This record gives sequence, C-alpha cells and structure tokens, in this order.
Amino acid sequence: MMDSAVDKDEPGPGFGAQAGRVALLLLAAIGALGGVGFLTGFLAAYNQDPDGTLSPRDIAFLAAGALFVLGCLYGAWRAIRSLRAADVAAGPRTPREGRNRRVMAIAALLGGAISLVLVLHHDAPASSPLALLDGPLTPAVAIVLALLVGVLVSALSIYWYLRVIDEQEAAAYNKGALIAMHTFWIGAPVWWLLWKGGLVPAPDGMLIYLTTAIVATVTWLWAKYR
Amino acid sequence: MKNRLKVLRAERNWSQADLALRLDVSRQAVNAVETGKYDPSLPLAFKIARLFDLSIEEIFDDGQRRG
Repeated sequence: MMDSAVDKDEPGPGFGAQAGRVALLLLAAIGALGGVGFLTGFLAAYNQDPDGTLSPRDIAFLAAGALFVLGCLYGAWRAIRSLRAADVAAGPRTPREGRNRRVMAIAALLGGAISLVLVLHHDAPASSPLALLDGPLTPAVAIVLALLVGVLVSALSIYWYLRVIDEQEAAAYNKGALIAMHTFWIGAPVWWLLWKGGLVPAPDGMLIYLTTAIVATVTWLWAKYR
Repeated sequence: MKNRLKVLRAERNWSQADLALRLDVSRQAVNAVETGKYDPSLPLAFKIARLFDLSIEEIFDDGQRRG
C-alpha cells in the first residue's frame, strides 16, 4: 500500500526528539570548545616554564583532554547526522526554514571565529572555559571582537527575529527571553545578598551572563521542539 | 486548543511540509499547532481558515462553544 503524505510525517518522532539532538549538538560544541581551551592553556603553561618537562601525569592529562575533545566532536557529528536524517524524513524544507538555516550557519561561523580569536589571543593558561573568557586581550583584538558582537551579531539577530523566524519560533524565543530575564533579575540580587552576608564568593558577572544565556537557549529550544 | 488541522490536511493528502509551505511557516510550527502545543495567532488562524475555505470556529475549538 502506498504511504500518503500525511502518513509520512506521523507520528512525528523527528520533532519530538529534535530537542535532544539539538541539545547534544550544543553540549558537544561547548565541550569541544572547553576542551580545546584546556589543552591550549595547558600547553601554553608548559611552554612558559623554562625547564618544564612533561611528566607521565601531564601526558595523561593531555591525552584525557584530547580524548574528551574527540568524544565531543564525535557526539556533534552523530547529532548532525541524526538531525539531517530527521530533517529528510519530515519532508522538504520551507523557504523560511532555509533562511533560518543560513542565518544559523552564519551565526555559528561568527561564534566559531570569535572563540578561535579568544583562544589564540589568550595570554594566561586557561584552566576552564570561564578562565578563557576572563583572560586579557590586546585593545585592537578587543575592539574588533566588540564590533563583531556589537554590530554584526546584533544586526544578524534583529534580521533573524524580524524577517526569518515564524510566530511559533518567536513565541518560543520570547518565552526563553522572559525566563532568562527573571533568572537574572532574581538570581543576581540573591547572589549579591548572600555575598553581602559573607556566605558565598563575590558575584561573577561572566557566570551570571552565561547562566542567563544558557537558560534562554534551553527554554527557547524546549518550547520550539517539545 | 483542539483543532481539525490534521484531518483537513489529510483530506487533501498534504504533508506537514506541504501545509507549512502554503502558510509560510516552518514544519515545526504546523506540527506544534496540530498537536495543540501552540495556539496560532489570529492572523495565522485567519490564514489557515482561508486556505481551507472554512471559518476559524470550524477549525479551532476552545472548548467554550455553546449549544
């Protein structure tokens, strides 16, 4: 019996599982970036030590870091393959989805370029992705990156929000923004008050920013693909 | 909100991708509306109604209908 077009896209396993695939891809990308930062920082520290030799423990650390990065890259590759298969099963993309993909690809390239510049221009050894983000930059690199984020990423975001996405994705994105805003509005003063009471370390702006961004992204993707 | 979108689509043998193309939305959006996870805006509801040549009430049911 021939499958109808309606049978083909039921029972919709693609959409239900998309969130997991996207989450895996994001986690793998973040993990790979963090792993590369760790390896770069470790090797930079080794190069700065005049009589430094790699002990078996150091080699084990490097090997574990390299394995972790490889594992993340493998996870990302599997997630991309799975996303592609689900995409093909769901039928042809609409022109709006095509534009969305192109904007996402440009955003990913920009994010990758910015991350690469941060890794390459980082002076201090990076023990973690957060340390990598906190490290100093030369004024020229800082200006270029600030322009990239402030102008190019902003313009791309506005174009994406106003011209590319449909109302379902806009609603999901708005939900993410609302919950992230409240996470910030409530989380930051709670941390600050606990710090004033001497109970926790001083508020960390980068950690607050990253938490807000992660909450927004996770909520957005959940609302879009649930 | 309940709706008859999937039935109406099936009657025309359209896939979710076909309907998404006609409504200029993503396949996810069609899926989310059909499964009741997302209620469309009034402009999109009108667009859907015009596409199927029906009234909005004939497609969507908010459970408040009288009689």
